[in-house]
Amino acid sequence: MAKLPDLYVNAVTTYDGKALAKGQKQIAGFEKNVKNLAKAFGLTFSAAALAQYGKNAVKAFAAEDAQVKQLTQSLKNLGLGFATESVKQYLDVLEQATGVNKDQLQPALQKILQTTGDIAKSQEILALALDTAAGSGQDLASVSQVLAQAYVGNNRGLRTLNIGLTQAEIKTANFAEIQEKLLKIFGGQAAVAADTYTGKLNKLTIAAENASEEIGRGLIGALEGLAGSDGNLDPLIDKMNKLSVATGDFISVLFGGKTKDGYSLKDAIDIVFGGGVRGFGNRSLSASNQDTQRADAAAAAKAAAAAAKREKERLALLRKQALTEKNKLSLSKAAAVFDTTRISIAAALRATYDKETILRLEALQAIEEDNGELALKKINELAALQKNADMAKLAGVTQISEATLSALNTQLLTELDAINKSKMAEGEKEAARQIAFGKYNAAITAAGELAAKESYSERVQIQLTEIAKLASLSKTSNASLTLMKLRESEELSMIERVAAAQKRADDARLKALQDYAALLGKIGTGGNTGGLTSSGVGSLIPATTVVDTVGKMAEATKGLKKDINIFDLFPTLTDTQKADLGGYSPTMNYGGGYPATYNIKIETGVGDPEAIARAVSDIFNQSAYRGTSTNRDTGLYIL
Amino acid sequence: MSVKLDGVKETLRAIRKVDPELLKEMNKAIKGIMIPIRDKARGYAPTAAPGGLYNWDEGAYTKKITARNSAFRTFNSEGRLRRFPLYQAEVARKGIYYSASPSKRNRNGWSSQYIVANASASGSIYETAGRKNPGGDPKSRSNNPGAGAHFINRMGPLYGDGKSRGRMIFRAWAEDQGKAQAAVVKAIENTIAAFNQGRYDKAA
Repeated sequence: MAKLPDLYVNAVTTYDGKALAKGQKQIAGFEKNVKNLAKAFGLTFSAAALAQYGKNAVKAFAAEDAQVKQLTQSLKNLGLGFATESVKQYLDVLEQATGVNKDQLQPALQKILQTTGDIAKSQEILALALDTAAGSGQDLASVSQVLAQAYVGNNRGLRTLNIGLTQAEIKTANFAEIQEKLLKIFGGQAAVAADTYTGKLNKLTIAAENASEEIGRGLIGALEGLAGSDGNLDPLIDKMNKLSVATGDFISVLFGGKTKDGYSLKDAIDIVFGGGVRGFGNRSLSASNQDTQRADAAAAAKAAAAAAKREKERLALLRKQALTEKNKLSLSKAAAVFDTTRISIAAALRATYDKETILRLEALQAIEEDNGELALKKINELAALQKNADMAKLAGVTQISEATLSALNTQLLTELDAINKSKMAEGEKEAARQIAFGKYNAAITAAGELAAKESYSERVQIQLTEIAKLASLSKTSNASLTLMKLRESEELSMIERVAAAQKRADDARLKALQDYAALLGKIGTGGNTGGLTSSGVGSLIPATTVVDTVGKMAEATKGLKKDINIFDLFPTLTDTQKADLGGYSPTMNYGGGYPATYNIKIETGVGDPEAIARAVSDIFNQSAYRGTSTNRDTGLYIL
Repeated sequence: MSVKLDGVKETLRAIRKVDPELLKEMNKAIKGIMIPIRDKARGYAPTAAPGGLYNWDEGAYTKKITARNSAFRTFNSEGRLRRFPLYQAEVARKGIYYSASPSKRNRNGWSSQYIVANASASGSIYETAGRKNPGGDPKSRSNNPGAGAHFINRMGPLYGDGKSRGRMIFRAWAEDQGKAQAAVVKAIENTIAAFNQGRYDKAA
């Protein structure tokens, strides 16, 4: 159901009478209870008020008696029963001197005794505890507990005392040092405290309590007497339970009234003590006789020996404890170093992609973890890798292999993916990418260099493209370097392709040049041009060419160079070709058989004589162009 | 100010059990009556600290005001230091809400239903400042004894009667002159009548 806010306006208010009815019922019930309580209280109050002092006195005595018994038993258990009386006296004196109640002193001493087993030492520590408690404002019980623990080397509780020791000092200090420190700080505080007004009041209170205890002791004795049995109150209680009248009489008598029979308390005590029913006269007043003194001395010696032994054991234990602490410290230091090494290895592993480095670090890690088998395995892998690398170097392979590159790519892509998916700020992501690309670059450099991209498998090429894309998106310097490497790898194949094409073109050009040069050489030397003659003698026109007319000769020689003249051509002709020329020789003696000038008269009845003459003239002109005649276009040709 | 109806709770419980749809319809009808009151009250929330009290305006501070650096710090009910709530128009506006759920019984057995409440701290200050002591707290030991009166004067007048005076929800309620309340009661009565009619019809 909703809690009503402080400020609201409401449209409807409803009344639920159940709450009021319930409240009324509860109040009625409460009133009834109060009345009953008042009745009961009224009934008992007068008796309680009357019996208060007596009850308190009896209670005080009972508590004191219980404590004494407890101390006695405790001393007896510790083998110090002989010293019960002296301990009691010591506590009495201490109580009076310090104003600290025996209720506190006794448990404190008991605690210390249980630890030390030595009365003198316990008293010394208790005195110190009193000083410390008075000085520090803490209660005696906790201070004595702390000191008892410190005695056996457990110094943890000393922190609460604020004695100005550091944590480390508290841990390492021995009891003597602690004692000295406490004495220095709190020495004499108990005496000072006892001398204060409060201390004096405490003393007064203690005196009153002691008096009360004494009265209580008397009353209990009296009750025992009334019970009529050997110090046992049970019969009396039975009687009291059975006879309520007797109880009333008892209370009446106890506080000044009389029994139904008219006896007062004084009468009762007179009867008990005067009648000698339960006298104390037979009890010896001397605490010890000669025999008990001897026995006590023997017990004391035994206890002293036991205490000395115990002290020896304690010191040995403390030494052992100190040694253990020292070892523990050394171990923790060693562990810290170990941890540092492990942390360094783990960090180094994260900072590299290089397979060789990774294997080396993994081997180190295995050694740190005492995993010899794994370490050896890693070392073997490392050796194999190094051997492969050496072999590759010997074989002249300097570029990174397909498998290695694939592994590196996968590693980088995984890491980049993790960075992208992380919830880091963009700046932090860039820093992480810088490291990742740095590792990738270093690993590639360590493993050789990237070969041409096309030399790798399609899968690796896809990876490289992906990496290039991611590197171009990142603004880090290492990403730029990676991108540069990948571009170089891409360009490498292009350069090779261009170089190959260039080489092919150059080769073709060279061949053409060589052929041309060979041809030129052959022309220059008049050598065989290859397949032009059947005789093997070089010819500038094919050997099968018939040159028996001027026209055929002109046709056969029209492809020849202009600077080739008849003197070059004629020696290359075959005999048949020479015969076709009708005995012509460039060196023939014109003066002997041939006239110097041939007049050619064109006579024709079919064509235009002028045209025919022009055709002949053209042939001669061409001949002049070829150098076989001179005086071009003159009509007078000289061959 | 509110109308006291006996047995509504029991009747509504019975309606919820027998005819929940009827109850839903009734709540819807009442909501339609109360929401305009809420919106009107929200409209009375000033957009900035009222009366130009810029030091009381949360929006006027560039740094975050905490219990430690607040100039108007105070103590909460447990005795711990607490910042004096600075005025924030949006918080004051949103702090005014409508609720149909019945409140917990008070010690006299009464509970409220269908309320418009003002729950924000600064909104509550604006709503009621000066209602108890129009001239400021007479027991104030402030170094500036007139500050309380000055603050209240800047808030503007209170609307309504007696303890039901205020500047937002009480003002809207007072201005409504009981029309909304009558409509709510009518809606409940109609629902109960419809329910009884239906029940008898079913019985017949």
